Amino acid sequence: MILTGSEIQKEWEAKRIKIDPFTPDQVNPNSYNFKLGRLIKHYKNRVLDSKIRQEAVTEEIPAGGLVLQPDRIYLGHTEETMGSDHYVPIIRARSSIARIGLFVHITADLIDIGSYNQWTLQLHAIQPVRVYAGMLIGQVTFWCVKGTITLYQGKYQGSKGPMESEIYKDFQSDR
Amino acid sequence: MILTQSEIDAEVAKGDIIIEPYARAQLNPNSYNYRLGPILREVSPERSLGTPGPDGEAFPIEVSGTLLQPGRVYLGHTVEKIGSKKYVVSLMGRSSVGRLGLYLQLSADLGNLGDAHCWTLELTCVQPIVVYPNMLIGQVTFWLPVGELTHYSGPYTMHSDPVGSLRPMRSAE
Repeated sequence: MILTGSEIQKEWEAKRIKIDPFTPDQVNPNSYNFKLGRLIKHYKNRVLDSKIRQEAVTEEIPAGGLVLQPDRIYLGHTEETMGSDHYVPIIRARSSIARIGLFVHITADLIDIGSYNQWTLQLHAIQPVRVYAGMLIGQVTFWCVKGTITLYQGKYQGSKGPMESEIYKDFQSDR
Repeated sequence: MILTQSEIDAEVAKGDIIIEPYARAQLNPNSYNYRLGPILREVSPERSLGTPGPDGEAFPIEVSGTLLQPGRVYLGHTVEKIGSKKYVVSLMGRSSVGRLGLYLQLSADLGNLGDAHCWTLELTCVQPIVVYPNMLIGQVTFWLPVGELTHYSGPYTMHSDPVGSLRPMRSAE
């Protein structure tokens, strides 16, 4: 079951959903619109070896916007810090963003229950796309769960700004 | 409703969810991490243009890593047989993989109720990326449906290696 807009607002008021800052204007009939934060990262390397820590360059989106190029993965972040101990969040682009050919996640729409962050957005443009800090870029939905809840305690907990992949740590623990 | 970690674990124990092999360490708060199987297949241009022709050759992912190139679609598969006749399966990537620009499904994340099998993954990357056999690459979620259950019995469940498109490309389908 997916929460309606009024239920999202009620559960935010009851502190069972965190969205900070929260603006009632950004509530949709069954989701909440989130904004693109001001920092963008991209990797220094062209070839990304998943076993090796990849260094990233951080830049601030200028007032005039930043053009994202199609052949590169960019990491953005939500302006809002969000999460819930009671519902599973799932994120996606607003259709207005998809209509200009911009992905906001790369097949990673699922957020763990109990994960509180400025969520990292995986930005991929099909054609060059200019983005602006603070633009309404995506939507978050909240879903009811079946079963006893175990909260997220993973490596991205509490992150601010875009966080690059830490999958290389999997290979370290395999050894 | 989406199943939590403890519910997935309990349903696996009851046999209402099949995940083989299964490791509790791969459970997340509301999903299960699956691994990338050792075989990839490139989608041949004949296939994507709908003319008769073979699928691309299958090739192994090297233990030392295999480089995937952007602009191509590779078909991979999950190591695990996954399925349920009671819960709807949906597959996605891990955010750690998405953060490197690797797509795991191409807007086809929804499974059917039915028998367990290894799932074909549609991989495409934004920048060249090196992948490894058996790496934890994606997540599967389980959803409680509403309504009478009917089970998928189509051709894709009979395969455990990456399966290319079996649909003739006609506008009626």
